[in-house]
Amino acid sequence: MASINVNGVEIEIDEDGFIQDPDKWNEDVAKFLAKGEGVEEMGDDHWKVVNYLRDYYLKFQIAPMIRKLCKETGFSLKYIYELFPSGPAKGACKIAGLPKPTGCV
Amino acid sequence: MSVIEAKKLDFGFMKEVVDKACTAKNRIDLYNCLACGMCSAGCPYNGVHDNADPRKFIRQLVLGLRDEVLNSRFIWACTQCGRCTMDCPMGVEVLTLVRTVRGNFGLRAPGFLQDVVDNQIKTGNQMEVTTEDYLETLEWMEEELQAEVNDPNAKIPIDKEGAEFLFLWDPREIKYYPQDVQSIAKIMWYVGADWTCSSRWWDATHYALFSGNDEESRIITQRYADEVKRLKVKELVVTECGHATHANKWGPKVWLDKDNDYPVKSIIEKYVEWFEAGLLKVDKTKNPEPITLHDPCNTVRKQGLGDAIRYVLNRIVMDFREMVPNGVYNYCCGGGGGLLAMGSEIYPCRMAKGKLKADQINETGCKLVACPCHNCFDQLTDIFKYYKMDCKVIHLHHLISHALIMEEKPR
Repeated sequence: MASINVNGVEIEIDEDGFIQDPDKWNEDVAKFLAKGEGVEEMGDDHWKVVNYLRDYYLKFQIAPMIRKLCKETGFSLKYIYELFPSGPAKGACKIAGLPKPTGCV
Repeated sequence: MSVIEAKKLDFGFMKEVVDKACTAKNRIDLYNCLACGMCSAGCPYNGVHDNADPRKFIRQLVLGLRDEVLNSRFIWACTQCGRCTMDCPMGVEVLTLVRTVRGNFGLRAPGFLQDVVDNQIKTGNQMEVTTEDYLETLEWMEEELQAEVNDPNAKIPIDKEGAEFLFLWDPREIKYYPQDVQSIAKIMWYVGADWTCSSRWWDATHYALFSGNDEESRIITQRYADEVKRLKVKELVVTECGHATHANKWGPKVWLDKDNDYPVKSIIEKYVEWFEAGLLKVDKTKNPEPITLHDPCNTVRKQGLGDAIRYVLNRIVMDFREMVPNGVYNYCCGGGGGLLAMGSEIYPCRMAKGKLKADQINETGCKLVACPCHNCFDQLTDIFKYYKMDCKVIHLHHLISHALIMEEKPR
């Protein structure tokens, strides 16, 4: 199993770079993962998306529909792609510390 | 060198596999292997990573090396792409033997492949999208489309009885890529398609094709046969997804006993029909970038849609360049056969296979790859990342929908 090291803490990641244990997530981990997804600087809007995804996941153990993400953040789909060039599923969800969604993603 | 112990050989094993095999052809033909090894020459991955030798697999089956076969890495690392059979002088369907072994001997696939099947059986779709969320997303994309084309009559019909065709989605379009829904619906609107979605069973995908469990395949396939009847549609049309196209076209004949002859098409075939009928007017100068095509094995080698894809591409892009080899001889992306759902255990094989595809693409000089398949789409994206390629994958519908000539909309 591969791992990343953030501030001296080893965190296991899967083959696609998704962290394995959501409890190990913190803002520094998010910033670290963001760089791998083409997000150099996490701004307020990035955090709004990431925090929504994370809160939803902790509550329901599943990623929200993109519909819900847009509705709750008030951001258009186009804007979410501007924030996260690799998209909401592989980009934003990964940065938010969600495990890789099962299925054809 | 390993020793084969005669007393351990199970001479009934091959027959057991053949008897359980699910094929549209004659099962008996599976015995026709001449041990010539052309399959091993035909498999692009033989030598790319270990345990990728189809001839060895067949010989083990024939000899009755039961444990070796059931515990082999080969049966999971094989992408069931069918390339080996292209070179087999006897046409032995190696992928059928692989699928049969996977699904009939109490084995569990690596990774989360079975979870995907379980989700689909249990919830009706592999991503556990609720009906409410599904309908809300369709409604949302309908509103977005209406705003985009400035026409309140641009609709995404649901449960419309007597429509010409029922359209099945890939759940990732619904859950993660709703812009794909809008793009496809835009084309439907443009040509004035008489289509409908189902509120009940709408997931085109079919991972039991990969797990090899025929009972689960039957359950999934029956749902769409029932929907065709309930909604009184003439045909079933499947989104740009390779294995879903194959499973829905081939599946009814092998898994269902009755009412299994409803017509099933890929949306690619509809694009061709719409072009032929003069309904699709596309400005190809909107797609000027050099672009190559990855032929999805399930759509092209198994369902023969290579010419249809090229017919469409030549009408929608300026500079189409073939990779070599291509068409029915194309190499798999390396992510077929359910490998994308097999987790870290199979990942090294998947990336090793992907090197061939990376080289093929690099040789074309294109930075854009057309691919009418979601599974290949993800594998290609993973390959680009892994081999640090500055490339992008794109579906046919995106190339079409953003290049439609609005002033010439037919009706």
